[in-house]
Amino acid sequence: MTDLAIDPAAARPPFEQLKAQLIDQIMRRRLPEGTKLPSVRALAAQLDLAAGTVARTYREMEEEGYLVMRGRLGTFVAAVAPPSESALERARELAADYVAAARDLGLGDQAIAGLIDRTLLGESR
Amino acid sequence: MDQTIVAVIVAYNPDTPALRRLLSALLPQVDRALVVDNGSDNAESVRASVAEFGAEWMGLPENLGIAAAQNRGIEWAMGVGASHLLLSDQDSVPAADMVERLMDCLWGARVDEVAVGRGGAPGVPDTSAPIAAVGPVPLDGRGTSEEESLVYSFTTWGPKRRMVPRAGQNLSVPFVLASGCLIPVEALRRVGPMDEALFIDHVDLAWCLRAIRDGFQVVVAGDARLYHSLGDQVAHVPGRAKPVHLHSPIRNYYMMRNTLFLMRAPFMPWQWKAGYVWWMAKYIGYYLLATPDRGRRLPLLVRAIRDGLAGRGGRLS
Repeated sequence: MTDLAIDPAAARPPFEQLKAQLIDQIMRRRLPEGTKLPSVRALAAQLDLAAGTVARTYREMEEEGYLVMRGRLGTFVAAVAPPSESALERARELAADYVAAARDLGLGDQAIAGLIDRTLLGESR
Repeated sequence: MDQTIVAVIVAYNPDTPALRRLLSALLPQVDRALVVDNGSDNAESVRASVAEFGAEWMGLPENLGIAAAQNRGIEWAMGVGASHLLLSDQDSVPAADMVERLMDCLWGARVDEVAVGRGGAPGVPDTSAPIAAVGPVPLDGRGTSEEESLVYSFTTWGPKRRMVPRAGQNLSVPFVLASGCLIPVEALRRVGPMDEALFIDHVDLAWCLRAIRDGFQVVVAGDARLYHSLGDQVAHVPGRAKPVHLHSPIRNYYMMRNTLFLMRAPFMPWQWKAGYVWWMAKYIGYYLLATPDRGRRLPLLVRAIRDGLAGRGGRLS
């Protein structure tokens, strides 16, 4: 995180500069998945930015899937590579196995799809 | 200057978060954007993401291949008055200033050098030729540095990775990857559409080689960057320092068949044809000797050679 630098005189606003630089480091794996980022206040102090600027950058980057915020634990780099061709192939096989097994148990297609939706959303909700 | 940049993004079973990252980075840089969905299983969630970002959506009934999807998207873009097309795949993320840098290269029309390997190469264009396509430096996140990016140079025996542009340098190359490349509509009218018989692999290579034959050049802008998150597995091959992207058996079919298609094309110098024969021998040897499931690969490779020699294109049925 030491090579971040914000140029206050540049045409691009500081918020966009910070975001572009963080995306650059994440996409090039200089900040690999799971890396913990400094707190909003620490990074703001390091770069001489307003805390709100850093907070907005983190928030937008979380919405876009680059970062994960884990409350008091801090902010972490998310996984950005899409699943590999072979992982997708394996997942398709597992899905086919699941559908076949659930049909054997007598479940209808709607129930089968409903169970997947519920699992994705988390059982508690 | 009257310009309308329209992005054409081809999606097939995309990872939705990756598609959303692409849309949020690309949309502010272009005038309009169209996502062509190539019959994805998750077409509905693709459509929802596209709508949320305010881009246009076009659904194809089944996977018609990358070339056909690009052509449908390009036709739409020309219909809405595009002056420039920006092609993208589904899992790249352009740097915040990528399109601006590509346009700078196009307007400046200053090409510094032709990327030619030692020993020279046949069919090299002039740096004063009009530009048919300008592409970014693709960074795939594994090599992480510009030096390992997929930029190709002219060499005696075909396009090879030899040079990468320095910052600020515009390099004339044999081809650019379709993803992130900017094409002026006049060039597209002159060179013609993408070759749909190729279905998937080498579509960009074939188009760029046709453009060069027609008197254009193809350029990589050293200041433009595209982050590409390749999902494929990589393997290390003995004797090669760089990791190799491991293709699935079906990709083996298309790579092989389409390489044979390219070799039949009139725009290919004989030295390059010889280079591709050598490449195909290594490709077959590697996949049949050094990778798992060669039992699935062998019949597909045999079929690829048959279809390639017979000129049977389209989707593997």
